[in-house]
Amino acid sequence: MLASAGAGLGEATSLSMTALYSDWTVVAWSSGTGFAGIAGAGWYLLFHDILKWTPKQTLLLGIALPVLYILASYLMLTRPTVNPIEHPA
Amino acid sequence: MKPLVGKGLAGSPLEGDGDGDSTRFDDLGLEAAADGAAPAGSGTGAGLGVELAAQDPPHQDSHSRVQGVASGPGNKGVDMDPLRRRMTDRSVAAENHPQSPGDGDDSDPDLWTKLRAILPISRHMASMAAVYFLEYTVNTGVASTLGFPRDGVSPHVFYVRSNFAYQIGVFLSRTFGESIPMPWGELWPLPALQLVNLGLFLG
Repeated sequence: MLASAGAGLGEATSLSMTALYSDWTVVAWSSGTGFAGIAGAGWYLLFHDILKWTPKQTLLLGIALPVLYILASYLMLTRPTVNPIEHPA
Repeated sequence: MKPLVGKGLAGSPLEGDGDGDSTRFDDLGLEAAADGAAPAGSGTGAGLGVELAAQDPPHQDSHSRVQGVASGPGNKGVDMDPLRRRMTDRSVAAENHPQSPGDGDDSDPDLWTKLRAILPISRHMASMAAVYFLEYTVNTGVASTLGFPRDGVSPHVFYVRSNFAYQIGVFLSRTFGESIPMPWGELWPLPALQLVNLGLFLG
């Protein structure tokens, strides 16, 4: 439930924010939603079907993935180009 | 506090092109990009977007802006103008912003303004809704009743592999973006294709 709430809030916000970046940003976002499916299906295929982990081990390892959100937000994301105002803290 | 999302809405393609104050957010954006306000091209995914924005020559309206993007790298010179022009022509931007520039420009548009902004894109929303409706009809209504093959791989292996194959298709379709031209500049052929897909599953 927390994951769904976070995904809903994050998607609505970041999709709105794509208006402040280039036109390609929304394509990149769309492509990312598609690759997430491959990554998720491939995750289970790799760890469970190929490496023979248990389903529990496979899912627990995925808990580490949200760290990527933090890294992407603070290391990769640039300031919006439209807004000359300081981002509110 | 400045509403970032609110400004994002106002700066969207719905805002229309050309006339007077409706371009003020575009102007702001171009200034910011030209000044190098954003650190461009750090080799990251987000940096790529900023780089592309900065490479675009300064344009005066969203029409030339569309052309600049359409002729960008990797886009094979596809002209999306018919679609974009229709989107901007139906803009209700003028009615949406009765207040003069500089008078409460930083305030969030009210709910009625946001609802009015839905009108010019409603035909595209209809296409989107139709595609999703048909996709979920295929996934949950039809594909789930097909069951698993009797012989060959086990149901578990079949499920994991078919799901992986399906996700590859989802990734490809969501990655096309504007790299292939829409027939007649319209979106409705896409739900039509999805309808063919449903027919194939039913057959």
